[in-house]
Amino acid sequence: MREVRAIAHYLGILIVGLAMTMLIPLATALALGEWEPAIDYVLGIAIACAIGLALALADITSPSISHRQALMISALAWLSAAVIGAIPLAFSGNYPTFIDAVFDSMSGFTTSGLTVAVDLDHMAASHNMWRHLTHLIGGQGIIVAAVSLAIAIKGGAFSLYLAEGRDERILPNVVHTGRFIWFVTAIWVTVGTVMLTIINLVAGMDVVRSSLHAFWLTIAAFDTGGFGPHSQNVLYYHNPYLEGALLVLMLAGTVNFNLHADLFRGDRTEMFKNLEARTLAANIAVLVGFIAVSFSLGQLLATDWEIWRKGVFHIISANSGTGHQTVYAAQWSQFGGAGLIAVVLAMAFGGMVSSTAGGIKSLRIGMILYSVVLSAKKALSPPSAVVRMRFHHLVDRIVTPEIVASALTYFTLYMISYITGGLVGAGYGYEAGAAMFESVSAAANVGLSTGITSPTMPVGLKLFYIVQMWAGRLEYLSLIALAVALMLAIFRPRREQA
Amino acid sequence: MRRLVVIALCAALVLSVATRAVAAPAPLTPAEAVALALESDGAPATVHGEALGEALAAPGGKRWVNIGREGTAIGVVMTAEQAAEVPRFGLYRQRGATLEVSGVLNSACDEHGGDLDLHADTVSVLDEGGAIVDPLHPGKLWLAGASATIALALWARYRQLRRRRHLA
Repeated sequence: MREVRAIAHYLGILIVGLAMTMLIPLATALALGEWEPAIDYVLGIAIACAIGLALALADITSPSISHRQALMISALAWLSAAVIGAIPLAFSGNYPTFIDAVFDSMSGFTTSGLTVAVDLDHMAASHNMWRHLTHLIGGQGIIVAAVSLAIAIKGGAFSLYLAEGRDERILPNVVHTGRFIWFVTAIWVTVGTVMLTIINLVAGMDVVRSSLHAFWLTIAAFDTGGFGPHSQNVLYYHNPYLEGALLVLMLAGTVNFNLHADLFRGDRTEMFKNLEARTLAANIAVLVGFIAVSFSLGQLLATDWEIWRKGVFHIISANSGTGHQTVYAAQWSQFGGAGLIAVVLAMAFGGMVSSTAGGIKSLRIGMILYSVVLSAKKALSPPSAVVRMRFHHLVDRIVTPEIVASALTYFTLYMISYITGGLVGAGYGYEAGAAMFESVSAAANVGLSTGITSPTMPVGLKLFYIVQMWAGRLEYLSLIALAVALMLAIFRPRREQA
Repeated sequence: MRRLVVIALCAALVLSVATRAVAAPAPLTPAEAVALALESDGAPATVHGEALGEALAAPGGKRWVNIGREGTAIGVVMTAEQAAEVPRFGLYRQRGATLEVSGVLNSACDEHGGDLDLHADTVSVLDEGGAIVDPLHPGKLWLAGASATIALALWARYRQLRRRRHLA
């Protein structure tokens, strides 16, 4: 019971912290005279604080927590964030049901970018501010945000940090590491916002809309989220300069924060030696090649310029897990079979570990490829020979069975999720290819869509994608820990009674 | 004779209306226009939709105006003069002008980097748009007040318990 109280306490503290971040959209609403949305945020903050404080009261001593508890808090924190974050959205009038609002909130926090909002083109700026802020909070990590701000979770900071799927040790302690992650983000967001504001102003937008759109798009790209303030997403702007700037931000967002730290220290060699960086570069190059060939065969998007604007943009959008889109859902057919497969593979593989990207991750793909090479080398060597392979990821390492097993475990979990989602989508009557595309997009937290994700899709599928996005962001282990703990709590007492 | 003239005039009127109905294609929604563009690249079309956001710069001194309806929007390339005639664009609390745009649909426009777009020949304003009025809901205010009171009471209790144990 004390264990549950400790979990409730930290969960409550995290929810109160989340409520405080709603002050930003509240301030936006007040500044722009959006009175109705302002009330939505007062309401959101008040309800979140009430729930958070009620939970925090369960154990006010801020006890130390075990790794298992940390995993459960992490899993529940993301679910709570999605539900609490949905409160102001549900009152906005842009979501027909509360589940729709939870869908967008979960999509935002997990940096997926799939949306079921209606009438997005008339949405209040404050609601758009909140939608995009969920990318920023979720991209860096809800717990990283709390740890960085030292929000009363000192007793369990380190365990919680690890439980969120983070393993960066950029600086000696997690508070400083968390703050460094935010420092890097602040620099990129500032640079991106300035760059995109100028582009928007030149295109003819007014100062307020230019800067707000620039801030939102920057967050959505750097945090590899993919939301946009208009129903057409990035296609609304029809601007190659803007798309070019977003390409840079998406690539920056998919880079491991350890590599960002090396770049800040002036060490560029790590970027070229790192197995993960090399795998990602090779992956993007091969898939761009695929799409270029597919476009050329298709004739419709056959010029070099079109290959860049539509092909390269969508491969990087997919590989980084961003999901910014400059084509209509119905236009995917123009990509051709090979092009479409390239986009799905890019989504499935994902970006680097310890970044804001989702998917299996390049490091794991690289490890699996190395293990294939190692197996081949062993097969070709005499039985008595000791065959080893080295790789470089931050430090020089040897490919061990444990490392390969870990990579294969994650690979398997993602593949199970992708395929299950595809089967569920197909079960609801959608075309199999489109269902698989959408499933990979949700589970890898990407956000590209074939049009299945819409306000009119079945509630069961909405709930399934919510779970997929949640599980994908936490890389399954926290969720498995939560499921096991719940099952033990349910079945153990019965066994003991028996 | 008079009867014959009346019958002839009526017949002419019916025929002229019927011919017009057959000749003039029905205006499309942006979603239908996207579908038509994919089916028949370069097809002429007339599309109805609300002007959204603002007019944005397009190559050659032209303007992009996105028009939307029923959750789908399409980019329209028009002259600066045509864009200047649009009285209002759709934003929060503002319904943009409803435009009727006739032009040519491109499923992957070579001139505009492969974007699916509509190159406008003629643009006419069907409705000027206006403010969207949605009054404040008093129920929300009450709920916000009640939730804030509960939150403040819980916060006071939390602080009190922490102080008692010398934790804060």
